[in-house]
Amino acid sequence: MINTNKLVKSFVLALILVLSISSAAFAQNISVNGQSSEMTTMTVSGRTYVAMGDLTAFGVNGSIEGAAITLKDTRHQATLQFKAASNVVSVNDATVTLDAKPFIRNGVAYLPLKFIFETMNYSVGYDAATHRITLTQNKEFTFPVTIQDGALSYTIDAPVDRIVSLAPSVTEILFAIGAGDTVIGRTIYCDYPAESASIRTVGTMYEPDLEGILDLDPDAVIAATHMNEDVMNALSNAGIETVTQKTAEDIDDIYVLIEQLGAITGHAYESRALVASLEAKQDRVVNLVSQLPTSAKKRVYYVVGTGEYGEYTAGGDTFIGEVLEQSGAVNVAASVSGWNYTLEDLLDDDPAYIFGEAFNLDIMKTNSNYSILSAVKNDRLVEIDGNVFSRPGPRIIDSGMKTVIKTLYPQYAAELNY
Amino acid sequence: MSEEQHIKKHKNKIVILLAAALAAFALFSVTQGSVKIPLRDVAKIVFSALGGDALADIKPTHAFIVLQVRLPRIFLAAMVGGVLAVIGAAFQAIFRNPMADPYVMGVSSGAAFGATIGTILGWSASFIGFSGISILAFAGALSTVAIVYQLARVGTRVSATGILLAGIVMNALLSSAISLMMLLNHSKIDKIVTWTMGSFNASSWDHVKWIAIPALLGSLMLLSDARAFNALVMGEEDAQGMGVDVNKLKRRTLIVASFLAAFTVSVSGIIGFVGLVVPHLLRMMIGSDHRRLLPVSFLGGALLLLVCDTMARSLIENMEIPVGIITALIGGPFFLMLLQRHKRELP
Repeated sequence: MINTNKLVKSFVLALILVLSISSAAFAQNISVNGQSSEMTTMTVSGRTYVAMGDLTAFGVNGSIEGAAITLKDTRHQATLQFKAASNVVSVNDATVTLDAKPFIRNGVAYLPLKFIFETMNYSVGYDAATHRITLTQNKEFTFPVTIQDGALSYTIDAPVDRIVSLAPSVTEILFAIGAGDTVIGRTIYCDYPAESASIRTVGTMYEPDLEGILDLDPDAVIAATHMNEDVMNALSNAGIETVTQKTAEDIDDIYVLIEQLGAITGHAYESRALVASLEAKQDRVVNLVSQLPTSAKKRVYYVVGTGEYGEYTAGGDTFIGEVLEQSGAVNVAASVSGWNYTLEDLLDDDPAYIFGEAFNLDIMKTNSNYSILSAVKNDRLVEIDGNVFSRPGPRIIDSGMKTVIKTLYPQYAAELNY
Repeated sequence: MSEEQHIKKHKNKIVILLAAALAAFALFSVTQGSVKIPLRDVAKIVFSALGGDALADIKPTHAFIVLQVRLPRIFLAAMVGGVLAVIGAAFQAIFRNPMADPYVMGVSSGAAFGATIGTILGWSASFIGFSGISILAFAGALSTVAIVYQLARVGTRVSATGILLAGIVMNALLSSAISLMMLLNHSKIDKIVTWTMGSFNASSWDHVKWIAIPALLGSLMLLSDARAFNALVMGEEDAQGMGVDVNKLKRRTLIVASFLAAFTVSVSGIIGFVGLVVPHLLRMMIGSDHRRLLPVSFLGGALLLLVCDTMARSLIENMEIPVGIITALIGGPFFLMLLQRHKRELP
């Protein structure tokens, strides 16, 4: 299980950032599985980098050709391709973007330490007592993989490579971990990335076309939010492996889903790289806004529905609510659970900014009920891509958090160069 | 005191009682809502709006909530409730059918059809403070009424059975079309369903203005036919014999009442039960003299819907319940109770 304690994690990262202030390369003592070890590290703009040569001890052979830095992880039969001064990394078939760029200095390639080791299945921490970074190797995923969804449990015996995805977030994640070629069926709402357009559609999340799915003869059908249990049971009876995941309640649930999808498709390595890159971005955002005094934090309301349909927002216990808070916004609806809200409460809260899709913002602009809101008067209605924010996938961390920062705290936008 | 005088006195008492209850509950309702505003502040805000002192020590948002959110909503709920009950009473008279309700001519499914199209297209145009949804709902309701009317018309005559049947078929047809559209647009199902359950969320004075004059004029027009309704209840031939042009009366009532119903659904969505139950309930209490039944139905409908809407916005903290659910939950058992008590008097 990854990421069980967020608080400890952010604290650890903050310490790593604060304590590694030097920008010169120096030998640092690092604890590897409890053993003391020396590595050459360097810290640039808040990120600790490790010299490529120190990775040989972990079965990683590196080579430099011009700006291209290639790592071969012999223990995992994986290839990582970096490019100096670029934050794009190829991890086998997947491509992830980092918040930090590797660089070559005096002929030595320096790579983001946390990203590398998390991808290689180590937990990266910080031991405050000995002032050391700690690396602890995790157990490798092996088949059969067991996936837990509340009371339900699924056992997958071998990698699945013919998948019908019944959720846009699942499709996005599969493509992001380089398993896009395993997706042979999708819902009509699975519209990202653009490559998914050529995949056959099998109806909607709730009303999938059972015959169409059977006709595709998939290894597995993966459903998330809005799944139809009757259809899932029928598929299961037809001998097709089904996997379901409840709606993510927080950001960690998104990471868990990514790693689970990685495990069952045989893309565990890429899924760890993706999660590591997302966590790094999330940590950077959290650290940036931790510099803000409470009084400088902007009060925000996130519109899910408004006007005649009633007021719906993202309450404090939703993943959208968590994304807002972690990006330094004060979610005025944090006290409510779930998605229901009322017009009176919204008016009384009077948020400085309102985030929502164009359709909802138009209602707020034209209905006189909202005319007293400061955000309406000051034109601080921020149009967002609903698909990015409403799907518990990589994009809400990648571009969702960035959107919030750019809007609320443009002074920090330059530091999010991904 | 003779029996007749006794009933008359009893009837007068009901009018006064209902009017007083409506006024009292409206006042109480201003103090209710998810944002707690002290009673004194509410009084000050209302007083200042009537031309009193300025509000130095009151939050502007609180004044806005009372004056621009709660008051228009109270007016609107009362007006819609009253109009629905009057339409119900008029329809029950001309159809001489206890099942007739304001939506008998397909107003509800027509409006829902329009609203569904609006929701799916995401049409956010607005017209004097109205969303595209309201406008399409209004247009959908009127077109459906026109179609049902045309289907049931034979020359200049309209048959009640024809209207009922055409209405039922149009309802079924449009409901299936709505279901199909919802199925194809799964992500918008909850919006569509919420709309069809009826709500006064986000009501404004624009809505009140839009509906006030039609509501008043239409109700008065229906009231002016009260004697004719009384005659019609005896039977079409008797009414004809008493000098009522039954055909004209039906046509006029159908057109006026359906227009009114279309106005109500455009501001509140579909609110069942009020138009069906209130006239029945009051008929049991005061008899079926429409000169009295229509105004009393207005008061009764206004009170019922106001009570239900106040519950809708204050029963569960931080959340609104669609008012249509409450009208059925509250009105249903109450009606059944009355039905049980008056069983023997039923025709």
